[in-house]
Amino acid sequence: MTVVTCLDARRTLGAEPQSRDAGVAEHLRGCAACTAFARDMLSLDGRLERAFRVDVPEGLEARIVLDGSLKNHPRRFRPWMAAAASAAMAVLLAGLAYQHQHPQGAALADAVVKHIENPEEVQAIAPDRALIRDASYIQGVLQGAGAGMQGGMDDVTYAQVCLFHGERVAHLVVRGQNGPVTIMLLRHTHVDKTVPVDEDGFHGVIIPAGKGSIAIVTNNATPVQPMETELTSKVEWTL
Amino acid sequence: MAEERNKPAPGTVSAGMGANQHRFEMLARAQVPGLYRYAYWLCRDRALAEDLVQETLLRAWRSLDSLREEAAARRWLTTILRNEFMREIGKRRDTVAIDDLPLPDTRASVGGADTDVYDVRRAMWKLTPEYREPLALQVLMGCTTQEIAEMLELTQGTVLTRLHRARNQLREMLGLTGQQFGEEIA
Repeated sequence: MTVVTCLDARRTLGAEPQSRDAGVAEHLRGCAACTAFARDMLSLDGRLERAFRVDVPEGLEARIVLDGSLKNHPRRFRPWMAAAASAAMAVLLAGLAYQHQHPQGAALADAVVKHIENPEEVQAIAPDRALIRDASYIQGVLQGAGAGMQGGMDDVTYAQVCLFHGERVAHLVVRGQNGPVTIMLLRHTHVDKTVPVDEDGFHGVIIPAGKGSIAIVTNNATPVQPMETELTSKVEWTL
Repeated sequence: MAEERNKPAPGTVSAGMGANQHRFEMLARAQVPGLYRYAYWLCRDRALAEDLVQETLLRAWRSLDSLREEAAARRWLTTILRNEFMREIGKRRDTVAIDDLPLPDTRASVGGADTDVYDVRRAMWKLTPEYREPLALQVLMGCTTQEIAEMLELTQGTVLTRLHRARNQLREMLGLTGQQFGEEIA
């Protein structure tokens, strides 16, 4: 067996703390310092494993695997005779899919409230959330959703890029006069006129903003009208 | 006899459409959490991570015939996901460079309340991707160094060096520098 030095052992253990290399094992039997090193590395790996295991959104497996998306993408080509019928169906489905992905009016208001109430998101409007003081983090979220905010934004307690009907949107929460106010920057959802939101105790508006729209919604007595004016002038789409 | 011939061999993924779909769904469901976590550590963005997992499974479903053994599914799906991520990065080159995004607020974005987990995550985000990715593949996805080398198209020696250096940097960032010896040999 090749003689394993402390250098060799630590190089191996640093790369593979679970190494079963016979030479390393033999070395550890006679070297207390390297044994301690091996123990430290295993301990570090335990911490790394816990840290890597970020929370997986609840129900993700079901959403991705069982929501029919796989069934809608058959692996085998249909016979050519079915092509014409498929094309016609595709046009119909595309229309339905567009409506599903880009709800309008009351359906849009409903979708926004459902997103806010979603168990994964509802903690965003907890009244005791701390302010996010890192402006660059908020900027990153806006960028990720294809949006920008001239002059930045104050009093933000939550900022995330979320999937909303298949599109990436900025989901922000700010401290309002009487509690949290949710702002969603919907780059892909155009509205012709202001859509009122009044559902499940939430109220607010979805206002037109160029090619997209902005939802401003709250479940407390904070008036949203001043925010409409501010956001209309500040929000821009970058993509 | 014909029925016997048409039976899928144990451990293979080759049956009729319905059976295939069922087996694929079972297989995919088991892999979704790991794939999502790997995707998140690649892209820093949970919405994009979900997109990557979904696209990965769609691509996998379309090319299911290329998977010969279910035991290889984890590695197969991981490779597809990584390719999807690289494709996404290519598309975004002219818009947003993911490496330029600020570090995520790990407490808010991943729900970690544990202080130690938070500290370790912050340290891991500070690693460069060339060190963080092999570590994720090894610790999170359970890949061997040989598998990592093949996925990243590196030599096994390079992978070992990167893993060793990644851990050394993390030890330093986490204040575990009692043993400096390991750093001298990196």
